[in-house]
Amino acid sequence: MQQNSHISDEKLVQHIVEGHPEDFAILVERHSANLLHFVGRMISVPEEAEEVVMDALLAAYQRLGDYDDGRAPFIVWLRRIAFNTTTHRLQGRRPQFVSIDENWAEASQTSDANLDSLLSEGQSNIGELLDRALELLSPEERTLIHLFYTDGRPLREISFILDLSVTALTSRLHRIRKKLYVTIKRLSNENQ
Amino acid sequence: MKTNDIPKAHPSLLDALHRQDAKAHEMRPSEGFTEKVMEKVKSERVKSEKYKSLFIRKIAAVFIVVAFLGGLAWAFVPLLRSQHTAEPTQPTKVSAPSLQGRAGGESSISFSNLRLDSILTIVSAHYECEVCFRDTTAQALRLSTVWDREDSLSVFLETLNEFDGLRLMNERDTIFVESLMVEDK
Repeated sequence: MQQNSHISDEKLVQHIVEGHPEDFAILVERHSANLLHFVGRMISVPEEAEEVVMDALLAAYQRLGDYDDGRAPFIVWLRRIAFNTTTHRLQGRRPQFVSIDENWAEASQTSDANLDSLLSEGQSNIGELLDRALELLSPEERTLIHLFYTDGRPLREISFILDLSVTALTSRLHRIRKKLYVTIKRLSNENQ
Repeated sequence: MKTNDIPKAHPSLLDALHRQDAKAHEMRPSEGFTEKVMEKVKSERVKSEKYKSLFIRKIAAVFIVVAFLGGLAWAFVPLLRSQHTAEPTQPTKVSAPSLQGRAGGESSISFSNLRLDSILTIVSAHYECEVCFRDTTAQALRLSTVWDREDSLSVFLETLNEFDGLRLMNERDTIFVESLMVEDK
């Protein structure tokens, strides 16, 4: 196993599929922290996030034969599985972002440029309001905004992970910005 | 739509995103995480192989059944063929030797152009006795007669004795058959 630790992910996958399952440990070592960080954005309880990562890795192992390195790098493929595993886990839970969606009518009438204007006003508690507004986004929305803004990943890659078209992603990003604006405004009004 | 259609993140938004991300970033896999995953992977592999061998067994079972049925069919074809070829071109009619009588409730059974040994096999079974041909000539004789199962064996034997060159006797629960034609010769 040690001698294979320098091999690329793609070659390792091929090696594992050809009958060396023990080498999957190398991939686990390489990517579990990265996946935990990725899942941790959607599931804040570390133990639960770790469970999800474990399930995702197991699912990835089972589908290793289907991995096509021509479509996406291995870590992107892993993230896609981890995303699906997480959303599956979160299904059926009471969403915490209903209140935002209730304001969607208002959000749809605003421009996402309003967010930047609002953030530029220099409101003293804007950081706190932003934190709360981000918390109220759906797990999928949080993942999208982090992949795009925090990680700077290209839309094509995010599209693969979330299984959405680039057009759909772009419109969702605009919508998220509008939702953040509306939520900050609402939270600000509640505080006053 | 291109990436540049989406406004860049305002510094405050970026700060907030990094603050939120810090919690997730601090998460580290617990000790022995890889071993735990590999343990699951190992059991999964065993399970897969179990399913694989089960699948192979099923295929093998189907193959054996098909081969067995094929073998049976292969064995029966020549048997049926020989039955067809063994039958003479001259029509031999057995009018339901034993079954017809039982099913229809009739006691009379007609034998039409049937070998004597075949007739006596049926009759002897009814009277629970043996048949003994003293010479083989009589065995292949073909007769047409009617047997009433309610008659005694002696009555039926008398009927058969009316045929020229044939003599049948009932002694010690055995039907002895002689061909008088041989003697004549």
